[in-house]
Amino acid sequence: MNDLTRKDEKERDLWKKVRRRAADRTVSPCPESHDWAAYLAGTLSKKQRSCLEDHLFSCSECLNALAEIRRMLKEKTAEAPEGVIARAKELVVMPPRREEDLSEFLVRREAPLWRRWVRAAAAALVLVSAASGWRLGQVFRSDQRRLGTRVVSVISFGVSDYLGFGNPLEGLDGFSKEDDHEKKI
Amino acid sequence: MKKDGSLDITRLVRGEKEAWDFFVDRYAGVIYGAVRNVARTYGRGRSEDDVADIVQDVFVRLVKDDFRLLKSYRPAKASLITWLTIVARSVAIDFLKRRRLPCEPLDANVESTAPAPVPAASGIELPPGLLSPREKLVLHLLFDEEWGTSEVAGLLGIAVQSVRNHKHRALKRLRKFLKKKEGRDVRARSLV
Repeated sequence: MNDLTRKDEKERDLWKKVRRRAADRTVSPCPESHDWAAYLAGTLSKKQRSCLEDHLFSCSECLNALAEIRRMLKEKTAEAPEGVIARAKELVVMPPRREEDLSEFLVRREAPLWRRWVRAAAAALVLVSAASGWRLGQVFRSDQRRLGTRVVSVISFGVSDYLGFGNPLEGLDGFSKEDDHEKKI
Repeated sequence: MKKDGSLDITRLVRGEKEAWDFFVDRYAGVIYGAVRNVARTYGRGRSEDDVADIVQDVFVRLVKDDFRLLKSYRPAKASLITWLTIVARSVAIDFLKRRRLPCEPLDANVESTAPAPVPAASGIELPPGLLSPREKLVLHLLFDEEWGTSEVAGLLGIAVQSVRNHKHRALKRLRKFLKKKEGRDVRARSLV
């Protein structure tokens, strides 16, 4: 054993006397990737750097990760295959440049043509239903008033039917159920 | 792209196509290299297709939720290359775990996020502040992990001579502390 090695051994023994106790403590949570990036770039304050090095002392996982990243950063930048580049570029789509194209683009993005037609048809159907329901309600009400009974206001026959008031058409001439109702009264 | 040929991060995170294409052209190699490195180290039997999928996953994470990850990058703190390498490595390891590709017996890196267990205590307790975190780390790497001085310097990003200085100062302080402690122990025994 030469002098240098003997000296090294002595130093190692000295460290071994204290190292176990030094390592026996709670490990702080692993730092985030931006902390490591700043550590590698040397932009942390002395206090922040000490915190990270204190963590490295007791976390072998982060120690290995850091060594691996240092190694990667030293390597020459690889060349990505064309297919990989093209696929990544597709993730962000080119918007149209001309204004008229842009307005058309926005309309198309707003809703496709078929959906706009369906919406218009649905709106028209609702209007027609409401109008006819209101009209039938008026007829039903006047008919009830004429019979001297308490009238429940009906907006549409669909609703009234659902609520159990019966079909308002039944109150009109020729509908037998209303006759039954009259008999009950 | 800025007039000086550098990347305009503001335009990039606004989702401008031109800035995105420029970013991909410039940094795809960095991401690809980092991913390939991780796949070689941890992913046994991985194909070139797997690497391409992982690279795409990194790009997807960068643009996801209105560029949330890219927006978290702080140019003043680190270079984009450094930050992207860390992000790509982390995504690649996550990907390999998720896909359950045949993996090498990993170190704690992938299998567990919990820190490695520390051996039971049996040494002398150091008073807090006797050694700085860097000094402790240097001694740990040199004597426990058996790294060379230049490797330690490489990890910490400092000169080899600085590593030697840290080691020298730390050992000097340790010797002094232990000598004092021995003296106290001898006095205590003589009193008994």
